[in-house]
Amino acid sequence: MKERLGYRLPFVLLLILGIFMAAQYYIPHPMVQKPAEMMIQWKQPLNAFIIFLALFGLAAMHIRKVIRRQRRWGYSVITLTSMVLMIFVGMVWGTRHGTIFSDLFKHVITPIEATMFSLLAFFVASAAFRAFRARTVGATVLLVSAVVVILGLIPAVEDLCPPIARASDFLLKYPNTAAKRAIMIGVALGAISVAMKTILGIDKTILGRNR
Amino acid sequence: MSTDPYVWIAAILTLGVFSFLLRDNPFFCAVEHLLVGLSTGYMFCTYWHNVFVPELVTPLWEHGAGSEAHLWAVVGICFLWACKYVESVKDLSRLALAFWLSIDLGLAIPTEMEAGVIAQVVGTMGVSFNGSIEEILGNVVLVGGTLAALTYFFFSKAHKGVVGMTAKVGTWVIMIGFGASFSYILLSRIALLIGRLLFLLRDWLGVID
Repeated sequence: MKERLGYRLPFVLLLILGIFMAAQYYIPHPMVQKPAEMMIQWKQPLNAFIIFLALFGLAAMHIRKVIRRQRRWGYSVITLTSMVLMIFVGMVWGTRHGTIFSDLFKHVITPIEATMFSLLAFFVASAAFRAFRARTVGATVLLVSAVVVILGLIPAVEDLCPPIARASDFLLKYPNTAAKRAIMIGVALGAISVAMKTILGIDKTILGRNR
Repeated sequence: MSTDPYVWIAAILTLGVFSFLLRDNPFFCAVEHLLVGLSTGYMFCTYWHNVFVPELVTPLWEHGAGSEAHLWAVVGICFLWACKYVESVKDLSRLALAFWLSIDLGLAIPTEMEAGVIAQVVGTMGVSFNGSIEEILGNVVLVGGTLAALTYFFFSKAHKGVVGMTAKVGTWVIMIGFGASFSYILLSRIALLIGRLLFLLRDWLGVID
């Protein structure tokens, strides 16, 4: 009974509903579309609930860390305090523009995030220095393409050296599009094969079973 | 120098993040954990006010016994999901996971096929070979490059002979794409860096206009 409920029933549910959700795309009949739309409508609050559970898990992990006085527990206090503060101001005064919630977002979260991403400029530059040494044809092509596109994106280059700007446009418009298209087709085919493997029960690991 | 307390807070936090350039330090770690806490709180409130309440709580409260009664199923699935934290019934959460996955994966098959495969193939096959020499050459590169790059991802045949040569050209096309993407990422990060430096020097210290 436990085996059936724990493993087999979820796979049967996944098979039936998965095939239904894929097939409904090609069957414009209300008898099919109505339940499909209903299930898509359920998805949003369900996603929200899953995120709440994830946040609950994160908070529980930090609370455990503080109670057990584990290494770097002081930082967990900062995380918990700021989490509780943000939830408190968001629930009491709302999330609209002009509230403390939006002020905290604008003056605390945004500057930290922007600075963290700006730090990547240093790390990307140092990684590029190591990766762009033209040792192979592929690396040389990467280097030349990157340099031409960087130069082409600088406004002054368009006046000073029009051929570089044109070359940059050409690279972005044609070979870059070709690469992106091939990658998109590959990713889409990969996603479809993963979805089919999971729905048909060929890949069982996603529901927590290794064999 | 600014007198706005919010500017001071933002400036101190900005310096805290920049301090990582010297080495990992307690100031940076504190700012990092502050960001984690505030972001999770932000996420909770945003999902609560914009998704959970308007799409589940309010419809159930107002029409729970009528037109929106089907939403009780979502409450049931949420309960099944929460069973994950109760050892004796934690297997029930797999039912909720299976339901959630079936919607996503089922929808992924037709949508990926339509947007990721058919639309891209139609876009590649529909190019015109009329116009200026640059356009004709570009379209030849576009079609040939896409086919070459796809050949590189085709592993059912050994990359030898014509297939190997085409795959090699495909890697160069992909490298051009990566170079272009890298340039965009680098320039966007530099733009952000300039923005943060401007904030410190103009908005906080007031040393430049």
